[in-house]
Formats: sequence, C-alpha cells, structure tokens
Amino acid sequence: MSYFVSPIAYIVLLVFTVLSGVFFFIYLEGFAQVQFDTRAQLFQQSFSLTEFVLQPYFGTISVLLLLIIPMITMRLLSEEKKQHTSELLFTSPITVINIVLGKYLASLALFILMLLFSSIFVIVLYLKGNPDPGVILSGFMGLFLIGASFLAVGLFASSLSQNQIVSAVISFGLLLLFWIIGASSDAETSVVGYLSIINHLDNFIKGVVEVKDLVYYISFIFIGLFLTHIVLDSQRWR
Amino acid sequence: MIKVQNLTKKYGNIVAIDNISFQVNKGEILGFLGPNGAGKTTTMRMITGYMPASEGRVEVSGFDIADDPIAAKNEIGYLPENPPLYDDMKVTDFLDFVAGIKGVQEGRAAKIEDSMNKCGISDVKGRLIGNLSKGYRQRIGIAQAILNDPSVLVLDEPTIGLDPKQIIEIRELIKQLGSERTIILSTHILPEVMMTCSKVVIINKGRIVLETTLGELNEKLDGDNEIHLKLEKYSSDIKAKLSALQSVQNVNDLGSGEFIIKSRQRNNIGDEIARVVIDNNWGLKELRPKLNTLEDVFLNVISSELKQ
Repeated sequence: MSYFVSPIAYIVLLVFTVLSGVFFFIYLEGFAQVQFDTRAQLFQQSFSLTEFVLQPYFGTISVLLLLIIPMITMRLLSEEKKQHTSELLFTSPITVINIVLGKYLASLALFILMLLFSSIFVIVLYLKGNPDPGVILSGFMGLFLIGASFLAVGLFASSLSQNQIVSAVISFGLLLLFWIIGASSDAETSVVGYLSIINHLDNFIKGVVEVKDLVYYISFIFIGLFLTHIVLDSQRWR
Repeated sequence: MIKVQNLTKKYGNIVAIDNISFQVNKGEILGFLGPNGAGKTTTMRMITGYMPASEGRVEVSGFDIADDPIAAKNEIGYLPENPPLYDDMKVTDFLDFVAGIKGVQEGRAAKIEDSMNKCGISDVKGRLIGNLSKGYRQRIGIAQAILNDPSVLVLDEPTIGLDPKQIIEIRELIKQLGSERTIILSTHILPEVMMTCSKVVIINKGRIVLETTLGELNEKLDGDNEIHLKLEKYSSDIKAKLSALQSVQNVNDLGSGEFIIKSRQRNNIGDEIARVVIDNNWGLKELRPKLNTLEDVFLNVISSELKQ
C-alpha cells in the first residue's frame, strides 16, 4: 500500500464544479481566439493556427490554473484538522510520506482530468486544422508540469493553516510571487529569471522541451512536497 | 498490552500530564476516569501517537510509540473524543478508506460487514455520514476503531450520545472484545466503569490519584459503611447509647428520630444496631445500609486533591 486516495466524494464534487468553470472559460477563450483568427485572415497573408490559437490558449490556461488550483488545494489538509480526521490519519499505521503523497496524487489526478477535458477543444482543432502536433504535445507537457508545481505549492499552503481561506490566500500569494519574480527577465539570462515559474513554460509552448526546464519543475515539485512533509512532521514534536 | 511509564506533557511551563505510569494487560479493560480537563484525552492521544510526549514513554504491544510508530499503530484501534468522520463520504466508502489506511487487505469486505453488524450501523451503510444522527456517527467511530481487529483499543467516551439500548449493546461489545484484547476507555458514566471494567485509574490535574482493580474497589466500597436508622421514639440519650457501642465510630443525629451511624470497622454492623434498638424498645422503623458509590469515592479522591 503505497498511498491512499482522499475522500472520493469531495473530489467528484470538485471535479464537476471546477471543470465546468474551466471548460466554460476554455471554450469561450478558444472560441474568441478562433473569431479573432477569421478576422485576422483578412489582414494577413498567412497565419498559423499554432501561433494564433494554440499558444495564446496555453498561456491563458496557465493563468486559469494559477487562479483555480489554490481553490482545489485549500481543502486538502486544512479540512483534516478542522474535521478531526487528522486524528485518524496520524494514529493509523501510515507514514507522513504516505499522507503527503496520497493527498498530492489525488489532487494530481483531478488536475489531469481537468487537462483532459480542456484538451478536447485542442484535439478538435487538430482534426479540423493543422496546428503543429509537436507544440500540442510539448504545450500540454508544460501545462502539466506547471500545474503539478502549483499543486505542490497549494498542498504546502494547505498544511500551514486550519482555515481554508488562509490556505488559498497563502498559495495564491506564493504562486504570484513566483510568477512575477522574473517579469522583466528571461529564464536564459538571469538567476531571477530562472526562478520565475512562468518563464519555463514559454519554451514548452514554443515546442521546445529543454532539460533545464524539466529540472526546474521537478525540483519545484519536490521542494514543495518536502516542505509539506516537514510541516506535518513537525507537528509530532510540538 | 499498554505500558505507560513516567509520561509527562508540558505546554511551555504548564504541566498538563505529570509523570504518570500505569499498565493495562491483555484481557483487562481499564476505566480511565477524571474530571474534565484532568488530562484523559491528552493521555490517550499520547498513547495512540497523535501527540508527542514531553518526557517518558508509551509502549503498545511491545512497540514504543515514538521509536516504532508504524508497528505500534498497527496494533491500535482508536476512537477519539470527536469521531474522525468525513461528512461527505458514505458509510461503506469511509470504512473502506479506513481499511485501506490501516492495511486491511484480505477479506476487507467481510471485515467491514462484520464491524457494521457489531455496531448496529448496517441499515445506514449507504448513507452520507454528514446526514446521520449523533448516535450513528458515534457508532461509525467505534466501527472504524475495531475494523482492523486490533489487539489494543483506546476509546475516548465510547457511549456518549447513544440511547440506553445502544449503550447496553456497546458495553456488551466492549466486554466481549475485552476478553481477548487490551482496552482502555475513558468515561464520565461511573456505573459504566463498574459494569465493564476490571481496573480503574482516576486522574486529576494530570496526576493519577487512584489506581485499583475492581476487586479492591468493591472491597473499599463495601467497607466504609454507614447505617441509616429511623426510630419511632426519640429521646436525647439514644445518640449517647449508640455512640457508646464499640463498633460505632460516630453518630449523626438528624432529628425526628433519624440517625446516621458510621461504623468503625469494615463489616456490616446492621445486626448489632438492630439488636440494640429492639432491646431498648426504641421502635425500629427503618434500618438501611448507606453504601458508598463509586461517585463518593471519585468525589472524595478529587476533593482531597483540592485540599492539598
């Protein structure tokens, strides 16, 4: 038994509320993009679906994730303390690692489901038009990684407070911090730029999969989970 | 088997639990009593590993809860003061989840079914926990505690919130389970202790003030006997004559022919009093032993602490 899954019921509830919101936005956004495209056609000789639809789309999704993921993760650990179920978790024969991983993987599963739903539109586009498939793949890979990183931050924030709102605010704050930290710089040229979570997504959106970007995201996730573990474990020593 | 040795819990300068030690062996059911805030729940949380101790150690079934938490927790079934329930799960889903985190793999469905039957919650198994009454929630809490068939049960106020019929059923269940396992339960219901427990520990302000087996306790209760006496006639020398008896410690004259006579020794002096009354023709109306209850012992022990 390597991990356990968070309560199914609330995941299902969240899936429906969150997905409908995300999907709705995606649809609208995507539709708007396509509208823009048809008009642009009049003004340009050539344009590519990839440039005008896919890439802005991926960018938009990442912003949406920034907003929505803190709302998904705020419940993860805050609720446990409040509902007294943490007393069950910490007196059962499971390690803190199990708890952290279990919560994380459960939220990841939800996130993957969200991505899948949002990919439907992209797939339709691919079938009807001819956007660059490489970009599609790397774009989703980038989105997956950035989302997974957001989730790790959200989980960490959730471990810090019993209050869901506080958790959401902390995670949102942290994510924003990492988002704008390199606003003026480039991941290539400066340390600060490298730290920015959004800069690394750019390469994926362009269709380029670089090791250093992978390393960034994976380290990010690892550190987020590690910090969560420390917080939970420290409760043992209070 | 639960072994608590020199267990201490401090919050900064405040000592919540002060160097307590006791042991519960296999087959014993320990009744853990104390006024609110005495430290019962804190002690139980340290036994189950939810809270770390400041000093001392806890050993469960041979495993130290601090050094070997996974092995120790495998042996424990715990019902906390507030049952740890996920309101938006169904009963069966919840028990399945608990089975998962407690490592119950084989025969999971059967074990869940069994626990539900034992606790009388089978008829609500498909319902959302959040919609159920306190009695059901309490029993689901008990069900999750016994699910992995643990050798040690730690129950914090197990019968609270239950109706009289359910209380009897749960007490029976505890007694049954106790024969093969080690159980520690805390309660405010003193008669419950007399009915289910084989050992009693009373804790007050973080210290153990009484530790006895049920046998010793019964002796103690039978011992300090008082006789409640009601006579038809009344004269001022009756008190003196009664006090003069060797076995009488003191006589309390309540007026209108009522007396409370405290006996000096441990056995019942009802016979002797009756004989004196009849010999003197005082008109015996009522002769009743006033037995101490566990409540009296409890209050006695607690208040003597307050005096110190």
